[in-house]
Amino acid sequence: MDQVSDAQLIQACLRGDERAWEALLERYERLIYSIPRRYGMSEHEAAEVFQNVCITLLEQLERLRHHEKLGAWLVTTTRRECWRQWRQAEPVAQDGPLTPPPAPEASPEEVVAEYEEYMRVRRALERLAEGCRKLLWHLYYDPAQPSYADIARRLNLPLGSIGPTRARCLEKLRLVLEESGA
Amino acid sequence: MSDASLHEHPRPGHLSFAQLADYVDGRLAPEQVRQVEAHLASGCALCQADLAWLQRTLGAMKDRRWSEPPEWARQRARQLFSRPPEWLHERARALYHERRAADNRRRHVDLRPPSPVLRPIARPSPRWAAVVVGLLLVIAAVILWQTVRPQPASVLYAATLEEVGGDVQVQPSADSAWSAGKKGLLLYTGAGVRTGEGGWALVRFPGNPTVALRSRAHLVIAAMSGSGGQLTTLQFEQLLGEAEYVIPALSAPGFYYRVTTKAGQVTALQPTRCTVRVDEDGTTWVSVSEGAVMVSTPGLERTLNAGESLTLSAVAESTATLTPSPSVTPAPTPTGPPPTATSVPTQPAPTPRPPTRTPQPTETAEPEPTETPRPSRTPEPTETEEPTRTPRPTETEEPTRTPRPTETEEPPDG
Repeated sequence: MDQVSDAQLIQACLRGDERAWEALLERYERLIYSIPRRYGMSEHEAAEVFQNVCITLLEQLERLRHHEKLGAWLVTTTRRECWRQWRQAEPVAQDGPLTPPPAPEASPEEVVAEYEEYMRVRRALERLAEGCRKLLWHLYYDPAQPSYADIARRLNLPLGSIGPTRARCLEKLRLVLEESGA
Repeated sequence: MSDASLHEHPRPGHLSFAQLADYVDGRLAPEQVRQVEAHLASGCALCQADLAWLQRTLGAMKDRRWSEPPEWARQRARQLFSRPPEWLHERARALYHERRAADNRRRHVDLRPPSPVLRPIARPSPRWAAVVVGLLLVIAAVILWQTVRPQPASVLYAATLEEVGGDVQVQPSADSAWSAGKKGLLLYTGAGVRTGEGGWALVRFPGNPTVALRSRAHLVIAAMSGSGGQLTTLQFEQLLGEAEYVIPALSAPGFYYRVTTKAGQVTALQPTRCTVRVDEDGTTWVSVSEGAVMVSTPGLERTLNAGESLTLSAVAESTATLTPSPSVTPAPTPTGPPPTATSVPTQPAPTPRPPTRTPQPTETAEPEPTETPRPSRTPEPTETEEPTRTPRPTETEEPTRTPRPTETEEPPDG
């Protein structure tokens, strides 16, 4: 449902389409979760924020007016939720180590633009053949950041082919992105 | 283009895609970096465009910010849309209380320095103050607009457990567990409230109707529905004990409420103040202190005016005893502090009248209260009727408990 607009998904949700709700979550769950993580919250705290924002989204679906700005609305709502949780935990947090402050906050629209670029590339990656998809995933998404040698071993490729294959896969990725209108 | 051509044989006069990717990834030796940068500095538009694409795309791919939530959180979020599980009720309650507590804290001067983690959003600058003022104006405009625009039909209404005393328990929906009823809890259609010995509770509904439960009472909010964003119908299932229903004069036009007990139904238009007590055997006692209500059982429909009370038996050979009283009839056996809705402004008891307005159509297809002419004869004190009523109302006449819809307490903005 990647090509479906936010407005269409919201309308489908309001009609009771559960798949539309799942598609909305699929589209924005990383955006929501990233904000408390960037504020230095633990995984558990960030998951709490994520759930509360999802509840708020469900509560507000019917009242949302500017469907095309759903992403920015979610950023603002999540920041508020982080602030609320921080206010509650403040006396405790001051006793413990504090996470360094984040960089000056970008506007919700800027955050959404960066997130959409990330998701756009990720969706394009899903359309590549398995070999390219796996190689690029290990090269650029794998949190372990494995070496070329490790990747060659995992994918059963000659070590010397990793570089050229990567270039070929990036070219294909570029084609997919161009075909999708980006 | 073959792999080898990309990597080992650069495009004539240009850098290869692989070279540029290595450059972006930082995999080139210093000498190779100098060569690439020299070529880019020469103004090669093709290579500069490739480099820009690689920097943007690989930068997005390497961005570690957008990690996925834990699987359990993802699953719970997906479950929100279907029938919400019990944990959601608990979370909604917790959120409500947390938000109230946060609001209360903000009313006090807080001299503690904000955490540097959230300093940018925790310490508003004068510019932010201006933004906040602007937002308030916008919110005020939105509220004004909301009051005049047509509301969507599927507005979800919530009552508030406004006051509690002693043992009070609530059940968010028919299939959920009972838990301690705390002040401020939101109650939706299908919620139940019960009080223990000496317990009492006051439930307030949108538009200010209230129900005060006294000791050892059990009430279920069977339906809340409305029209144009205003609550117009309340339906209760009173299973046990005594409750006082107060409908103020300011309720929505056409508002009515209906109380169903084992012995019959009580239907009222605004404004009324009426007490209903249900005994263990289902016997129902109805007393009206303001306004008028209609009491109905199969075979009997009667308008009960201020100062009158009526007893309905739940057994097959039931009798209805009409007892007019010159003053407000006290509840015969209330215990615990009487949780009367004193904060609700009510009009003086108006001239009793039969219902003349047709209630708004509701989603629950509840039958409209039957317009019944008042009995032509004046009820005699302690008169006992032998109505031709059929035995106890059948199950189909009792409102079914609506499964609780999705939790959506009314949010402030959208």
